[in-house]
Amino acid sequence: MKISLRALLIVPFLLQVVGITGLVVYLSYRSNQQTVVAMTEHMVAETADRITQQLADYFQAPVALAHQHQAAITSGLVDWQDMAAVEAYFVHQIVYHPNVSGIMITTEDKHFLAVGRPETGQLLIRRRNLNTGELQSIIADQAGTPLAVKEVLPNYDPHQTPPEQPWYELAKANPDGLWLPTVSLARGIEQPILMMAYFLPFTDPQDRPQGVLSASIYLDQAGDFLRRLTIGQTGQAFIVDAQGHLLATSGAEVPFQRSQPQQPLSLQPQDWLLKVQTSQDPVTRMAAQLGVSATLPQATTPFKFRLNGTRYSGKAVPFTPNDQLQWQVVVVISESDFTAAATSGLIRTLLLGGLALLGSIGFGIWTAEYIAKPILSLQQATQAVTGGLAVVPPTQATPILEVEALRQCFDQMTSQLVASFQALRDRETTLASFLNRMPVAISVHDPTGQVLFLNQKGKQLLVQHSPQTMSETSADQLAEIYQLYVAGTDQLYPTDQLPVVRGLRGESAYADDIEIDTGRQRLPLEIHTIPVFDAAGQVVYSINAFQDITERRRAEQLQANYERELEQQVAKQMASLAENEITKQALINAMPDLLMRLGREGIPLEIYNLDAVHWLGDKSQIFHKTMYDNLPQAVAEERRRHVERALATGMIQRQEYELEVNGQIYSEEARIVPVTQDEVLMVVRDISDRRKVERLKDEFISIVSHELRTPLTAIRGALGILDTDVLRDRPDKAHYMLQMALANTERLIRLVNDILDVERLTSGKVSPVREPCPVNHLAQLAVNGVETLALSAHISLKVDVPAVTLWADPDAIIQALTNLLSNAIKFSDPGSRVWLKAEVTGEGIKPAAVKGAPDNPSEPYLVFSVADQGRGIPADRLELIFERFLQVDASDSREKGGTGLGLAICKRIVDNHGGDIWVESVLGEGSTFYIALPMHPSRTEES
Amino acid sequence: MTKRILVIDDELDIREIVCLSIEAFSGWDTEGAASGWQGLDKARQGDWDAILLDISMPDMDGVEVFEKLQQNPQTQSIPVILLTAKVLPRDRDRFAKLGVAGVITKPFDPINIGRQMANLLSWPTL
Repeated sequence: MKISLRALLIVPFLLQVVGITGLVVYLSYRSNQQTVVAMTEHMVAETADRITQQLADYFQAPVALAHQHQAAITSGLVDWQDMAAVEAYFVHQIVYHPNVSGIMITTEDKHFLAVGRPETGQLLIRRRNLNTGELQSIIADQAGTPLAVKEVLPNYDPHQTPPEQPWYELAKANPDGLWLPTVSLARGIEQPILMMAYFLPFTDPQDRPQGVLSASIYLDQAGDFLRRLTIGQTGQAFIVDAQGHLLATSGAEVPFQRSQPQQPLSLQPQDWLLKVQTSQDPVTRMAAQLGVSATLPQATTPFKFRLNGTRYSGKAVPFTPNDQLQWQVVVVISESDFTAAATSGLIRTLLLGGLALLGSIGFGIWTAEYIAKPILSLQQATQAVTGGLAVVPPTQATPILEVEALRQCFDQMTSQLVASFQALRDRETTLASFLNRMPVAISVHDPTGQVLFLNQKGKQLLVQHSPQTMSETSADQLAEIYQLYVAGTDQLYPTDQLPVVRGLRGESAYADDIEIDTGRQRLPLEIHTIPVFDAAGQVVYSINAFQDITERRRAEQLQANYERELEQQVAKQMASLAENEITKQALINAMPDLLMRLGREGIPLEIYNLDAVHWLGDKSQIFHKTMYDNLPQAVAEERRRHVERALATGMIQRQEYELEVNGQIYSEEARIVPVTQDEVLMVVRDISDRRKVERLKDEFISIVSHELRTPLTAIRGALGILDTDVLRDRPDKAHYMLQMALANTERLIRLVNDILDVERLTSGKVSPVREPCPVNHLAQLAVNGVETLALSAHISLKVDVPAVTLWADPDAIIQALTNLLSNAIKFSDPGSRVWLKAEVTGEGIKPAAVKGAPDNPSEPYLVFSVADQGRGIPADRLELIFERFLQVDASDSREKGGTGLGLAICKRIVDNHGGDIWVESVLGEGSTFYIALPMHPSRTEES
Repeated sequence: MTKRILVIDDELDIREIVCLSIEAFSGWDTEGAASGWQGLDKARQGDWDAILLDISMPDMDGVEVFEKLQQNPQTQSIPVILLTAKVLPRDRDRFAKLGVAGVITKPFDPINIGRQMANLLSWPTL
């Protein structure tokens, strides 16, 4: 449903105003109604109170007056037997008691005197003549002066009045007083008066009953009182006795009238009283019906009723002035008495409400117009903007702050929008221009596949197709119409796989396997397609970018060829590099050096052959610590200086140093090669072996030098002395010198020979020439060589060798055995023995003592042993004695004539034969030297 | 006054040659000792002007003998000349650090050995 702004502003406003006005009127009406009810009820209650109060006062006066008269008579103040005095007293009393209607006295002897006031300002005195029994009624003035005789009734017996129920005896029977309704004829027979008389018996001063006193009130006075009350305009009040008789009423009705006029005169009140239900007044009847209760006369009964369209509210209130009377006072008031004022207020309210409504409607329409007008001007401007930006009508200024702000914002927005639209048109123009200049063909298709846009490049590619054809082509005709083929075939490209069609399905597509037949040639195409969605996710466009990739295909082919060739070359180079790398790695691995590439600070960058040297540091932290951290301080400091010098000078630096590792001293040589300004290559080599060789060489040279110089010194000294004449006179000394020179010459010759032998055997250039040698022959030749020595030393030689053949160099073996035998003889005491023995070990079983032999030799060994009973060799020398010039005692060479090279020569001979030599010795008991030789040459040696 | 020279060398032939050469050509008295221990013993007992000391001796080499001579107040003032066949440069360096009066290498010229000693010990030559 659509609704105008004016209606939206006015209708709710009017509805509110009408609603509020109606509500106010309704509430006002309700309030008036309630006020009327409250006022009515209040008036009823107040009237009832006033009536009952007034009645109470009304009934009090007779009682008080009767008792006053009784007291006056009893006390003797008034002589009841003097009727004239009583009359004067009564006249005086009634004048001073206006509420009392009449005063009466009746005596036992039937005196009867009554003074009443049937009319205002006039007294009625009735007295009985004892003699005649007549009742004389005299009208008198206020002073009791008789004015006229009103009437005379004969035969009046006060004790028998009324005859149906005489009050005299009843009164006497009630010494405390008695109320009785009575009919008074004080106004004449035609105007009887209902009267309530209070009777009170009296006694003489001797307390003898003498008569009855009474004081009475006319109930028509109560009716007058009720009528005097202002009970609204239509309200009324009435009094009902317990029997339902209407005693008095504020209405016009006369409640006390002769019901049966044709019957004889009766003084019984019930013959005169009117039943309230028979009242002529319908309001009285209805009120009596609702309010008067015979069963509960003592309860206050409120009631309401509607009669002839008028609402009445009333209340029946019990009135019991004494135990003998049970009356009810009924008050009923019409609410219409108060409705008039309320209705005028309601009409005033309605008038005001109507005026307010009219004013509000006018104001609402004016306000709506005031608000709507500028907004409607915005609407018109908006319609103008949305309608095509022709001329935007000016918006209307308004003093309403919010609407004015809205208007200004709108104007600003409109101007921006116009600018934006202009910019958009410019951009569209620019975009179209841009797209047309693009070297790539661009086409835009709607969801049916029809072309919406095609740029210049696209038109060039699709030159054979008219724009009409293109715009009418549907998606499923694309491949056929545009002659699109699967690249390299004559097969039309599957339409559903075309990027355009895939784009229309919502996919981003790419294809470069499409060829287009232009009629002259086939062109390979590369096509990118993206879908464009609307807010609902539906494809609205498929944007197609495509281009001729002939050149690219050619370039790709060239590139592929080039890359293939390049790959082949690279593979070749890589193989070569790998070979080089392998070679380099092999070279590095083959190098006995540690190679490290280091930064200036000494942090290793690369390390090869770490195991080539003794690395002191933690190998797991090798790249985290500097090289200097892993060296002793002194070496590290020297290394640092070398590195700095290498980097400063560009010259290779060299450092030699010693390291102690696990208690052993190692020698290392480091060469520091500068590589860049901040990098050096460190080549570290363990030269411990070289140092050892050099040391041994130096030592050997030193020993040889010493050993050669000693005999030379003796020779040189002896010959030098002989060359002078100092021993001319001492021929023995001269001869001694000559012998000394000769002996040292011999020693020198032996020494030179042994040195040459050792060097020859050590060099490895001399291989033993093996030949079958009978072992006993070898032993014999050896013994022959030392026989002279043994004889001179008084040593007996014992030989025990098996008759077996040994494959060996006989000269070498004989030399070795001769050396051992010679040593044994030299170090044996005269008279002792030297044994030369030989034995063959079990075939295939290596003797435990043969150290250098294979574990499971296939050939047996021959073991020579030379034992003596000499001084023995200390255990710490057992290994050393086979080294050059390391005799047990250096002086042995002089004393025993040895060169210190004998055992060294033996060891080299045995080594050259693949055997082993060792010694067992007990100090003081002797030594046994063993030579173990393989019986036959091994196949390896043969080869 | 005739100089008294103690010759300590384990080689008998060398001792004989040295003593004969010094006595014959320099006229000094000599006495030989065949080992280091014997040399130390004789050095303490005699009044020596100089000691000729061999280096390579089996029981105690000449360096050790020299150190013991230096440690003994009785002998530490006696000038010691080493008489050795060790002629390598490192041997010379080692001897130079010992504090000996001089070194005479073997073989020596028997005629001039006394003169060599006198030069080393700054004795007046004959």
